[in-house]
Amino acid sequence: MSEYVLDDREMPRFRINRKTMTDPAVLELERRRIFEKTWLYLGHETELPKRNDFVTRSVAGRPMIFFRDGAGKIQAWLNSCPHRGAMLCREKQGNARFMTCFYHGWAFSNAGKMVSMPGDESYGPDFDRPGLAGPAKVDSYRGFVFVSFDPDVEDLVDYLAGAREYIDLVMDQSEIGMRVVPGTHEYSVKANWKLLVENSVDGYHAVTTHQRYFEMIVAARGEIPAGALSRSAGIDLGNGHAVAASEPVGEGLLGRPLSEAGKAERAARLARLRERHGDAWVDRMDGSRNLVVFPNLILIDLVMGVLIRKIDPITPDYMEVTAWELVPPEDSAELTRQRLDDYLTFWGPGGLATPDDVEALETCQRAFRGNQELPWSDISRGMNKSTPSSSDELQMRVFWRRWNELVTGEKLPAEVHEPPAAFYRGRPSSADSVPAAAE
Amino acid sequence: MDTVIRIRPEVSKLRYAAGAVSIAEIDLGGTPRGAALVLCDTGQLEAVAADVLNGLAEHGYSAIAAEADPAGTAGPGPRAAALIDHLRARGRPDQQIGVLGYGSGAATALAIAAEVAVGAVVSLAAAALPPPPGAPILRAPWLGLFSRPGEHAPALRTWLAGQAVYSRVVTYPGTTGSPSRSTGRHGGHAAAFDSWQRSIEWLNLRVEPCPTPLARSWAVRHADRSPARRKGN
Repeated sequence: MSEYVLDDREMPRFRINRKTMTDPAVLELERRRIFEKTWLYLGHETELPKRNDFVTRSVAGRPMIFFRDGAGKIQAWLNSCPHRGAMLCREKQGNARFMTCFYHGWAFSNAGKMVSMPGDESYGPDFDRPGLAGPAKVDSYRGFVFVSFDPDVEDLVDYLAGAREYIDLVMDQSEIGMRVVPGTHEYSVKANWKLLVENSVDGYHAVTTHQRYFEMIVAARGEIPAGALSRSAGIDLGNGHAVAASEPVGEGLLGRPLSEAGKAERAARLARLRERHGDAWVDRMDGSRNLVVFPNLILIDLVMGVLIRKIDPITPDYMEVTAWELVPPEDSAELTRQRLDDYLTFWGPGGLATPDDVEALETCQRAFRGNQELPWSDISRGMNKSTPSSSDELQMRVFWRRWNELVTGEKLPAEVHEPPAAFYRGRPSSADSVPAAAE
Repeated sequence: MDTVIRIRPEVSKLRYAAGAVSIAEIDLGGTPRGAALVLCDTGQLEAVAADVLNGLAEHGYSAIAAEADPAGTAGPGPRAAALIDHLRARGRPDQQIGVLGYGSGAATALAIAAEVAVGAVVSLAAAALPPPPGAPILRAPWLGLFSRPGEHAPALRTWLAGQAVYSRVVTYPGTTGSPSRSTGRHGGHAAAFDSWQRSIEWLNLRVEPCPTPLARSWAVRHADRSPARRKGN
């Protein structure tokens, strides 16, 4: 039996040992058995609109360069010169066909080939000129680019399992391909990375932790529709992926009221999408969803804005987080401005939600110093229900069972519940989902 | 004591179908980093060539400088075409050529970017240039460095926004004349320094390095070898 997860189906009760949040040995196991073995999010293709565009970021602790090469192909390279290791690229983003190492001047194309090494006659004609190194696998789904450092990892499409459907629900919201808004929100949290995964799919905390936000919404709108928070579902999507999804609530539960012109524009777009995808799919699209793609990609669509969040463990009690906003690029400038405003009001550095969450998670981490007296955290909510809602904790248990399987080898059976309501089974009327915009 | 080593450019005449043009040249010999073409304002070859060609040589570029075709010439003009052909004849394919255009040469450089897929192009002028006539496709990465936006800036921005090839426009508010000229007033020195730095970086990130003989023979022997790995699908 796992020393980290207690899954009692009799009571029922599901508990996590807080050592999972504090023990450096656990993080080392996670690195070897999760981050070296699964597909990890690198970035979205629309972050690289032009040929030779690049961004640099870290994946599984490795500095990476995410490139669109001169032929338009997506590339992912380790940001390290094969000569003596210096970072080839020290910019956050840019556009380049060639990268020259500032240490000794070795130069490489963005397709990974060496193009120049100063004084090459000192190496001889048979010297094996190395290209750039990269992860074992690179693949994408709807523009979401993932890498894996395991050459034997299963295909991405199989790995994503039921999460694909929820990515489709987001990406089908544009007729020309959803795009990432330029710019990133980068922050760090003095807490274990898994606390933010839990938080990202946790409907239970919303009203208590984000009380001020909801007060602002009530002040702006007059009221929140009765039962708005109850028509929801927590769904196991397989492979450790899970979603907390809700049915539509008017023009959305969150966000300030749109202007009249904004409402009309949004309604017109939804009407066009209904013609294209059918009512059942667009009704679902118009609801909200908090999706975790195991282990560390979060996609949150709260109708008023869509967030991509990548969570990177640094130490057991410290994580780095990168977030982006996805938008339908066909929106007018004014509607885009309103979406950005809603996004920042909720998730931004000075927003009314993310800073609250950071505070909550950091207090959890500080309190874990009392592990000896209080060694277990509880995420049992909804285990006894026939159909868990988004404010239950099935989503977290799905994540933790997969985590437990990879870290300890113990495979715990999935929970048995009734299928979610028919609403959550609506499918598009045709298979004409719009691919992500690319050059 | 002045310790800066300067190379005196060789001056010669390049003859082409429509006439002849004086060119100043610094040929580094061996395998340079790349080749560059510098297009100057009318009457400015002597004033500009030595400084710019020496500056390029410091970064490994063998380069030639010449006055651009007269303003108003359609497209790059026969003189610019002859100058590029001259570099090609020296064994430099288009991707190993960078172009810098100053003053009236800035517009010629932009016209080259719209016509020839050279490695990289930089235009430096007092005000933003109009898009080339007919709003053609941009074929080479282009950097515009201007002292002020001027009347053409909106049209230029619109044209560039629709291009698949990367471009950037930088202006230096408060400066006058070309940003490449240090006036010592209103940030002129800073603009001159910054515009030169940006020009060199633009070329270094995009102009294909000339392969050494060893690199060439290695590439032939390993033509079918791509970097290690991998595609998921």
